[in-house]
Amino acid sequence: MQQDVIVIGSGLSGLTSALLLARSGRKVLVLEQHARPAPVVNGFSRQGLYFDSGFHYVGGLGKGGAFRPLFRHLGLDRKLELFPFAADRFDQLKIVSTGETYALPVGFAEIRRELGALFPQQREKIDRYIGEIETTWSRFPYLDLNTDIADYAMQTVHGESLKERLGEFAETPELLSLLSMHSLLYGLSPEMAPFTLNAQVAGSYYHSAHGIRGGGRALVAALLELLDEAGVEVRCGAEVTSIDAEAATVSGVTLADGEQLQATEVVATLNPALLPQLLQPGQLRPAYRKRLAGLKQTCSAYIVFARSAQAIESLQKSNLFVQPQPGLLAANPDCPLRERAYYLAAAGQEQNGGHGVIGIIPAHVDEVADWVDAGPQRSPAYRQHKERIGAELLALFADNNPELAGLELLELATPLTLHDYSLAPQGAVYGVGRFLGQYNPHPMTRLRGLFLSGQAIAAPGLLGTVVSSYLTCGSILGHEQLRGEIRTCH
Amino acid sequence: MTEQEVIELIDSSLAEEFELDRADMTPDANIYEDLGLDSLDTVDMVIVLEGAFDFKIREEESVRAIRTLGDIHQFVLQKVVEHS
Repeated sequence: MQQDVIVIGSGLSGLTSALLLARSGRKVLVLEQHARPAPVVNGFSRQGLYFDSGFHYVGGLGKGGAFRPLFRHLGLDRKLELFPFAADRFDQLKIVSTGETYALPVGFAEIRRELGALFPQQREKIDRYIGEIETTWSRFPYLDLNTDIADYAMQTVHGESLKERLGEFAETPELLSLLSMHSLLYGLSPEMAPFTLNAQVAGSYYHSAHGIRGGGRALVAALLELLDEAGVEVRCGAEVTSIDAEAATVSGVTLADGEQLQATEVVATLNPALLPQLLQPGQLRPAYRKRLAGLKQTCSAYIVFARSAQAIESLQKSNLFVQPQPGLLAANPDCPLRERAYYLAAAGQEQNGGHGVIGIIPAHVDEVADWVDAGPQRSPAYRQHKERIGAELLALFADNNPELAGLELLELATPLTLHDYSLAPQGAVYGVGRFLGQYNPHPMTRLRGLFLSGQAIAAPGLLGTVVSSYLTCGSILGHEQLRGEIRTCH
Repeated sequence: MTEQEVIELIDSSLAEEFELDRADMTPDANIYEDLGLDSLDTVDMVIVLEGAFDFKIREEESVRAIRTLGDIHQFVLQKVVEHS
């Protein structure tokens, strides 16, 4: 059957974009290379425990939260059950060198109070800084329907870095740690992270932090149900090998088996650095092609999926960030494992009874460089490497957190695993980063009818990818139409 | 770098990266109407010039005001003077 729109990729931005376009009356087909939809967010089960691999928690969905109208507009509020993270400690930070653990409470006033009590001499500056985050985070396009989209994008190119902004407000290393720890959630160091990006990510969680009952799997299932209701087909095992064009206008795509599918619009949600490979050289100007291919990627990661004999109380409705030394916290893989900051979360908060643990630590693809070209059937040496890294990480977690002694490793994802599932160059855990000074691509491309969506367009996370879909679909349907619909959901 | 060298580097970089015909690239050529660029190309133009001259362009208002190739020459020459 003929379709109007082909969406390449069934991750969160692909599914969300397909839904918005189908509701505007277009016939939409989603193509996914993997055997099942949304392979990164869908998670997996091992030995009876469910593990999330892409989604962990979401901010900005509490009462009055700026993300709520979009959730309602999509219909996700009808399909999903949210549960709040612990009000007194939704995120915790442990600093290994001092042995101190700090807890962030939910809410801007509560965070001001908590940090003010911990660092009384900096109380006034903390108040002003948290106030800035409070006003900045919800100015993100589509969270604020009046934000100038083009101007906002420029702030992340030319604006201040998180490090510069924090320099005016925080002196104590431990306070710098607490105010920069969420950089692990977008994969940039505070020197390279725009202040506005940190404000959007951290601020959404300061506002409110929720889990989704059933995790990423439930989120994907809800989106697929909504797509089914809207008449959208999602085809898995469909690898797009080229985006076709006639007379400088998109005409469809070609699949690996040679099948050609026609469409008047194509939304590509793959890592934008890969886009030039799907196009003929003459279809993009060299300047644009080089810019896409040269986009800087975030770091990769090792992800531990483990079982604990006893329930891990400290991770119930809470995450634990661990940093070796106090000071600005960076997602930095360029040091030995034991010197890297990392992130721990309970797997399947509600299903696994606290027995599943996920640990994410920055890594570089060079650490597994020997096996990059081996394909999915990798060698015994690779398996040995995984066992060694897995054992080292379990020992590290146990040394830093007595509660995590005696974890059993069920699975370890490496930069190669992340690459296999996301196709991101170098296994980039958040794809193309929003590095200060870098012009990330606009949803509209140089080829008429071809649009981009995904975390590179807006920001990582459920919130970032959903907003990227609105930016993309707004470029296609008209921002005023989408904004008008959202206004009725407030 | 002489003024003429700066202009030559601008023109050759833009010709290569935007596949422009050097014969069309006169100083009074309108970059949108005569050279076929559009607003989406502006960011790429900034990146090409940043790469060619190794400086950062943060003057969004000035970039938005550019209409002709001659405007680009003047803008870059001004930046080169500021950086020397």
